[in-house]
Amino acid sequence: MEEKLSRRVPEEKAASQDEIQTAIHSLTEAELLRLEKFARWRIRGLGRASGGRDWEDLLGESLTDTLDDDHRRWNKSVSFVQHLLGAMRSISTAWKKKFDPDEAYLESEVTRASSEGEVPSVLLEAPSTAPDAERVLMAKQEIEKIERLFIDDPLVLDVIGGWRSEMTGPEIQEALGISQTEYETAVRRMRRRI
Amino acid sequence: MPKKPQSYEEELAAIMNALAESVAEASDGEILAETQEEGADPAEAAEHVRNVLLNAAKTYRQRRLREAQQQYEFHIAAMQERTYNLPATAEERQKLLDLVFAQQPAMRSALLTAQHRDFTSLTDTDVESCLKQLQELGLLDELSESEEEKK
Repeated sequence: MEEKLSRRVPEEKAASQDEIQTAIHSLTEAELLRLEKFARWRIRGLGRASGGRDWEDLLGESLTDTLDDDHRRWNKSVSFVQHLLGAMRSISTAWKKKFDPDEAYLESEVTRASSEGEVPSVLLEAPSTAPDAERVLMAKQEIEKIERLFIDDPLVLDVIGGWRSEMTGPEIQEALGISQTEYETAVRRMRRRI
Repeated sequence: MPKKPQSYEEELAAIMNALAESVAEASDGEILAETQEEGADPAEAAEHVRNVLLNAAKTYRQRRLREAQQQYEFHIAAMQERTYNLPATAEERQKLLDLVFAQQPAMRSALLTAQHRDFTSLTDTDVESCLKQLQELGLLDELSESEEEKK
């Protein structure tokens, strides 16, 4: 279930539409870029469950939900950026839960132009629904590709291993016996290469 | 490191979501530096993101306006289809409207635009429209009930 959207925000703490508009204009460069990067990673995490949506769709929906008084109001006791990040977490989780793995591929998702400019349609050769195994294989290959990028960086590989095992940052730091700074530096290396 | 059975899709999602969280916690300096390293101009890229937000707000407002317009048109169409029990002649309709405004003066300013407030330039169509709206509001029924009581 999507996070309950009608959680009531006390009227005196709920932002008006004008305040939201002002907040958009007041966002700094770093805040705007943080929103974009966050949205991009969340969309990548969805894989096919994104349903063809991109980071702009996710960010846009976090705002339109915020503008809707009956939906996801911005409680001004948290920053506007924190509110939008929370909204994006919740929306992308909901998209994933609503995704039907047996849903047919869109032709645009499976059609790729060759170097000669020909556009072979997989739809001509494949059944209209994607087998579950194919999606799993794609995810496996993507993980292997990421790990190959850090073949010479064992710390990063350990951190990735921790995440794959659903460990939190502090749990990984403790298990590996590294400081928070070492952990954050490794994560930064990852962000720059993946 | 503990490893419990998990699907590759879930593992990939966990990696990407962890990277998203690291962005949420990164310093402003790191965010700007990473954008520059990607070869983008931070100011330009940031303005693009702001425009994504502003366009989403604009689309939302336009959608709400369209919905309000549709609701209004639906209401008007319903009014046109409904049968109204109004007096048969223009003179009687004018008298009925006079009576309503005499009893409920506030309705005059609510129903009539400034140019019609003096009540002299109302056409019969205007009068009929006012009476229909008053009937929609149930005010004509109230009026006839109070007239009955007086008798």
